[in-house]
Amino acid sequence: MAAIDVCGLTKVFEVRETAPGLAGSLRSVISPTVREIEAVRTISFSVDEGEMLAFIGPNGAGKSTTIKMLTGILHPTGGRASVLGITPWENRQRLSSEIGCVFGQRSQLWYHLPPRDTFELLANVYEIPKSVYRDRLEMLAGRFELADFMSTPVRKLSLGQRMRCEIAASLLHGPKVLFLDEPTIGLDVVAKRAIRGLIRQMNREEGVTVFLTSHDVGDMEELCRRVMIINHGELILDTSVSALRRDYLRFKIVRVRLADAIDGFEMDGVAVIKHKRANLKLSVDTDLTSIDEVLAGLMRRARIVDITIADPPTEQVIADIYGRDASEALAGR
Amino acid sequence: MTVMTAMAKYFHVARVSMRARTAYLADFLLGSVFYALILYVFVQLWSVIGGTSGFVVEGFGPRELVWYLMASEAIMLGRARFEHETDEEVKTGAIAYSLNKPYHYVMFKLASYWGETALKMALYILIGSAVALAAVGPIRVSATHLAGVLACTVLALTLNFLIGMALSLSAFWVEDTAPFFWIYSKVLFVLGGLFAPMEVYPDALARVARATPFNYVLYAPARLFVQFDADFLLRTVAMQVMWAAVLALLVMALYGMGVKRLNVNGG
Repeated sequence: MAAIDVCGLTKVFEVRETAPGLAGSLRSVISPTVREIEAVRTISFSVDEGEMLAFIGPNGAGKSTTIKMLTGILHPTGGRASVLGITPWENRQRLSSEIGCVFGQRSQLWYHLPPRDTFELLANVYEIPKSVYRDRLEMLAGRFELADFMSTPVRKLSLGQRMRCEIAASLLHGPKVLFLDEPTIGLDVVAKRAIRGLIRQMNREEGVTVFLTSHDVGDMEELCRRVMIINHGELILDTSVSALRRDYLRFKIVRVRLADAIDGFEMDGVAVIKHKRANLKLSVDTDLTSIDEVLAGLMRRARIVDITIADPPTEQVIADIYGRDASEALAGR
Repeated sequence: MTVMTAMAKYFHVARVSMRARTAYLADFLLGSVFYALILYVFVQLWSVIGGTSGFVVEGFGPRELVWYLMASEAIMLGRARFEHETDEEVKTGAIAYSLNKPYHYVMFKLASYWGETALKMALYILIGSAVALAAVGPIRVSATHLAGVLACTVLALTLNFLIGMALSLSAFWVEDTAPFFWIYSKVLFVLGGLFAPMEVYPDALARVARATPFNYVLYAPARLFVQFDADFLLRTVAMQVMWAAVLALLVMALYGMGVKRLNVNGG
């Protein structure tokens, strides 16, 4: 059964534009110029119960607007959506008891109070019976390792600790669907891994449907089987993560600093993007050459001082998808 | 959902808001010093006027004016300042968290407002009474009168909330509501009767002021505290309830319209 069902969802924002200079500002007060921006354009999809879906795209692609329509915060300009059989913007309060939300760049915790106070407030707001709340909090505090800072004011928590609290807070009432809007934004590698592990665990143990937006490809790769990519408000890809990895994420970006300068570096499937004495930036096609082989090749030339391996940025993946669409269209002519 | 569970929910919001307020202890104490200072300045002013010309207008001499100011300033400074919350929430997108909870946004704000206001008011009344008592001596009040004044003050602060909320909700249309609140506070100074009761106002201005809800935010409860009068209490409460009903309808209408056209920044 579909936990989320979306058909032709559209959101158009009206943006007032101001001409430059004082005269322009005054003119825009008297006769404002309004421009329409289509943040989301007739998107349709459905998400099964218990599924973990990644909804990725660059900044301004329409991810957050979609999530805010699905949680009932924004009213769409057109189309329909149903979350657990409820139209979000018509029954926002009813839906809110069934879903949990985490907005990575905002906070629902009371800034000057310890997380425990927010949890207690939420237990009252969601009308969770006291004994159920105690058990649930104990379980979440144990799983999210919150005990050490449960009584520390939120303002004194690290971003990683705060995000663990945010997610625990959104799970307190046992939601069936969890909307995560950039839950790992700004976190370091260790904290990201911890958050991803916790989300995976909650999905496995409680069957929570997870709708995750992110512009971090790693969130998608580590958590989800299915991915949808949105750009300029349009769904441009709805596929499995493995297919995306096979088709678009096989390239890795390797940045390496060697102990000694080398003249150049050549290997099958490796393109040198930048090279300055001992510093290299390589693009590696992992279908042709594994990262191990590249590292071994580099180490034969010089000792490695520092190395980072990254996925191509979402913008690059999207450019590749468009490039492929264009070339497939041309080939089909 | 029963009324009791709904009430318990909002009561808890008020409690947490009160607790959060104690985190700003320095602001809190600084505000109290400012309040005591204003009272001191006016004690000096009214003493000079009273001493030189035997100033008494409709029962308001220097002593009554000091106690009046104690009450009106306690309301003015004690009311929770929630004005920037909604526009900040819209600007930063934090409204996403405020709206998707199983409570009514306006009721949540009201509960949070009362949590903070109750704490601040209690403190200001204590400090103000101590200053006024030391400066001009006691005035006559009875427990029954105080119960009436309390009811009137609760309604006055609710009116202030509803006016503030109506202005706050304009954040759904305009992003910066600060100018509205600046104007509102100045209007409260004059039409609300912050520094002096309507009895010492010119007739025309007093008539205009009495026709507005601002008069029922500061003047009415402060005047009742100093010069209790059962008829005045009944008339005041009736007018406060009437204005509260009108403003509540306005707030709900603005909220209903605003939520539909909400543009959350950052998506």
